[in-house]
Amino acid sequence: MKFCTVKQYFDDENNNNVTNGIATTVIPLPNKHLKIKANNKEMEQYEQELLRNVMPQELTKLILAANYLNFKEALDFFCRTVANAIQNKSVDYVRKFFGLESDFEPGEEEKLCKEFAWSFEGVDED
Amino acid sequence: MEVGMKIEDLPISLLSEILYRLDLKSTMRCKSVARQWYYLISGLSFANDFGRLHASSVVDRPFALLLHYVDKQIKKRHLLVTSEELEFKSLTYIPPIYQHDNIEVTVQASCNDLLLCCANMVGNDAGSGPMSEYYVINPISRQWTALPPMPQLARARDGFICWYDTALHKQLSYRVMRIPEFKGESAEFGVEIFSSDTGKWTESVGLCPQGFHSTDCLVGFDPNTSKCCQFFEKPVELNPSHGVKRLGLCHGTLRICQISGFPYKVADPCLRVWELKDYYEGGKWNLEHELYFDKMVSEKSPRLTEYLSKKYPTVALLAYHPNDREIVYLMIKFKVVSCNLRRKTLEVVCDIPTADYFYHGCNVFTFVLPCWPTPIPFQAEKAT
Repeated sequence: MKFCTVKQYFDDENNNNVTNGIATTVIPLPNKHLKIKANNKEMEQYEQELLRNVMPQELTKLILAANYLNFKEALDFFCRTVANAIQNKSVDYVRKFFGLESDFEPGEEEKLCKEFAWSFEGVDED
Repeated sequence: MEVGMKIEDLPISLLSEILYRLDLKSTMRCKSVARQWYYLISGLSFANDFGRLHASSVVDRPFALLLHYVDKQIKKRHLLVTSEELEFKSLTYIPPIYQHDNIEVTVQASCNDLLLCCANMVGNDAGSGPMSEYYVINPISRQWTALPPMPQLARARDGFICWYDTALHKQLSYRVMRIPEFKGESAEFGVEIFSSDTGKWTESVGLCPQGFHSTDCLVGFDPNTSKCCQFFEKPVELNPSHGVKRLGLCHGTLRICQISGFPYKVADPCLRVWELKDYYEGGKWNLEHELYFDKMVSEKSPRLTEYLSKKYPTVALLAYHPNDREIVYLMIKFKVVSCNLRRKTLEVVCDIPTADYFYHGCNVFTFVLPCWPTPIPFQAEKAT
């Protein structure tokens, strides 16, 4: 049960997975979720709010927290939020979002772009 | 102030959870983000899980027809794709090893989103000259695998079926069948079968009952048991000397069609489609549709409607819709036209430069895009 895991977390002092800041975002979520489960529009608004106010690194922490707490609905919600943020965006945008750098050899990336050229069409401008 | 956590700290399983929620195009593009992402997305378990999360009705899957034709003037083979969707741009892909002026690649068969192709020296018929090689390819993911040399180098009719069950995490399994040309009337015919499970070709003989060749009969051959298993007579109403007959598959059932009309000069030309019922009880053909050409209407192309009500229109059946039982694809003059059999309506899909190769439907293949490209095993994955 979701709420049992939460209690266990608070008892476990050595936990590095979830910081206080995140816990305050995740824990109210069950209530919010239950209240607005049927209302997709409000969930969308909440999603937009999250994306505006929360840095990508924080979002990944939220995902980790939801996973640790075994909170499936929150995990699905946060993952979808991140997915929607990077959907149809360029490879560079995705890298910046996750704070990643390309680790391909110089020729490799071009080859991939050529191989899957069809997937690079119609991408949103950065 | 907290130090931001890096993405490397996000375990692969959770990164996957994010990627599963993207569409096919974005996910394929993410292969270029970093090496780890490339290997993750190219993996078999990713394919299985992505497919399961995106499972949608098979009827809605986008699909295209591939038409193989030769430009006689420059003697070059072309593959025409009837859909403009971005994913299908990849369908004409040929692996670099076969991209050579002396090599000709032909599509021999298709199943779901896989193609069976044959690469041979220019001037030879597929499968007959020396250095003829078959390969199975997923043109969307560009994974492919070459088959070992076949037992007999001869012109042959090819068949290709594959199974891939994402729900049970199985690997792709497929069979390639070749029936080399044989002359004369015989109750026996040689069959070569390649199984992806064994990685080998086996030779077998198909046996037909007495008097088989004197009736117009269909034979079902099971590549798993290497035996002829079913014999069906053609539909009673099918006129053996009238018009071209076309066998095909629609939503898992066998259909046969006859167009009484071209190349015969027949008054009241018409299109008939039969479907095979009671397969396990001997099989019975049921006349599903009977459509007279002068009753067909195209709203957007009135000239087409007009053409069909004239005398002796040139119409051939190209293919059945893989999943929609009400739709077939026709070739009318130089156009590919989709025909709704129930509503008797027509819609032009695209133009084709030449009609010659398609009357008997040998060079038309259907390609259905699944939620995630079917992975082909035994292929060394390379980032370069």
